Amino acid sequence: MAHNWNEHLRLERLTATSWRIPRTGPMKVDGLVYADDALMTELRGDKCLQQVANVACLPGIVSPSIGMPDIHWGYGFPIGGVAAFDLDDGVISPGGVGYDINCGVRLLSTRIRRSEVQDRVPPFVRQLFENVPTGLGRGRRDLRLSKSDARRMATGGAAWAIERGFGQAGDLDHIEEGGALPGADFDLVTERAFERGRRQLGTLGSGNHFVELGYVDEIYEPTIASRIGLAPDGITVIVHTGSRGFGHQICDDNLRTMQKVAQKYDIYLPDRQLCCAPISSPEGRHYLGAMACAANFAFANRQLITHWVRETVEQAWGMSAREHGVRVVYDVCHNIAKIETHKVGGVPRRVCIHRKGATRAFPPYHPEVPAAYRNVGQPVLVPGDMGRYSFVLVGHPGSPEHAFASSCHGAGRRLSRKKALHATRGRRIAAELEAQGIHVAAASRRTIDEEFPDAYKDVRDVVDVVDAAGLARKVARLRPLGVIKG
Amino acid sequence: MTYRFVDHTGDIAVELVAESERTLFAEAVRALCAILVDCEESSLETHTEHWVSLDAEDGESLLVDFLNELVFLFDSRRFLPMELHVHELCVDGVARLHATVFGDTFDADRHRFLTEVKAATFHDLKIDRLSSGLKTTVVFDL
Repeated sequence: MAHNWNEHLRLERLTATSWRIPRTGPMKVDGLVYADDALMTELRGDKCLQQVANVACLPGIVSPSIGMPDIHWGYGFPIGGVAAFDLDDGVISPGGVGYDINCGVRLLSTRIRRSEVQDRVPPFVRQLFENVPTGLGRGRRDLRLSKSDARRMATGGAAWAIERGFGQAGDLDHIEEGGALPGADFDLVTERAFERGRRQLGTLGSGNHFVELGYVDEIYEPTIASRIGLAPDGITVIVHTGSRGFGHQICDDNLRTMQKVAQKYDIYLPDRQLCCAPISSPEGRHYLGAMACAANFAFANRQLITHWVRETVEQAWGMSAREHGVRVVYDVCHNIAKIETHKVGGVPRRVCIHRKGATRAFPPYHPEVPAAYRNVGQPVLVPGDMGRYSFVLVGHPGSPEHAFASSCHGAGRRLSRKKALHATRGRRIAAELEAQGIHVAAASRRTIDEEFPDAYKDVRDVVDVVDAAGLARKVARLRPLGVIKG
Repeated sequence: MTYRFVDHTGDIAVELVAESERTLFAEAVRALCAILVDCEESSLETHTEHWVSLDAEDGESLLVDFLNELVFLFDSRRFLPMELHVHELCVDGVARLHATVFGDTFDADRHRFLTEVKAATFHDLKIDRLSSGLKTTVVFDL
């Protein structure tokens, strides 16, 4: 097979917001990329379109291999990639989930209005930075993870944290999968993964992870916004983190195994990072059981940080729980593989969906949408960069017909870290943000430079495509007031 | 022998050029250290060492396994890798590495932390043999 089959892919326009990559070479299905003309102009220079085509080569893929509007060049799968695989003939790929298993976003709403706290943002950010370990910081002293704790955490997820006093039982109602992915088997987790993760539970990490204080600055769907607890000028908090070293090591351990089995199962790999095994194989089942443990670590992690956000509101602003009313709007996974039922050719079919840098977006009345949101759809949380805005959407009634009920996950990088550092040389990004009323605390100045707003696409362009393509509906826009980063 | 950071939209990619397998692996150690901390603004001393013994199916897997061993040591034991002393390295057939890695223990007072590394990846990884030596590009997930 020519090794350069994916270097000159054709792109055919389907609609104003979608493009087809026709099947060619070893591709088993077409590729489908959601983008408007402007986004596509940027994508043409990126290797992510090749990566959509590479994923289309994997066994048992159910048409098509999908790229979201925030797609960009990753490793193996593109970031912003969605692919579904038949449970009998298909594969599971750790690279299709990524190292940061269940990296995700949680949105909290409050009863507080912006006018009440606008002048008191800096002390909040300072206190939050103290309460939530970031960067290389190890976990808090009041949280030590023994082996037996880890075993319970790996199956219990967010509920485990709540049982330990970190949160409220009601928080679980508004978390994807109720905060615990089923099928977790701690016996499949290596000692190395435990060792790497044990001190990192309850830590934010570095890179693009953050906790952001903000407010609701625009509402597009007042009835839906009100139903999910978002009011004009209401204070919000976004938590973005994942399964830390625990998940990274579980991915690495299983990738190592799967590197060795491609030949055994006669799987053609256009990129070794796509290594995979049949879903029903011992290697496939092993990965799914271990992956669920990491997913549950991430749910527990975001739950712990939620508790510390509540503490911070109480410490920095002197408010009682009744006054601040911090509640979980929703918590979504960005990097995950899950078994779901979707109509394929009009027939319901159980498939294993890989979402890597993509969000589930179930429509109204889907049985897995929480009861309180049943008639409006599942909230979809799309953070932007730290200088502009983030969006809240809900699954569109037609979402299952598109992209296996999936949506974008963020703005998507447009500049590499190297180019971002070059672009920020001589500038003081934290001071520039402060001049705009956004207070930043970070463990490393370099992180602020690498993550400066222009390193990302304008998330508005991304969600407009998501909305126009019928993947998810825009509900509200949030503006940042303060951010902590690693 | 050199390493240099090359553009990668989502993560970070490092191009390694070296005369031999030994220097290629040594260069990979230096590159990883430079991703983790600012080497120019850190006071780095080779205080500590770790023995590494790995087998892999080919040279590329050995390089990724080796780098991920170092990522594990940094994440779990704060070991900052700096120098590589190779005792045995073979990348043909079944690849094998026996080596001692010398480095420092991360200390926020002496080292300027840059970013965490999740893993070295296999993405588009190939060790190319040139007339002058070896060349490869490793993508790290940050």
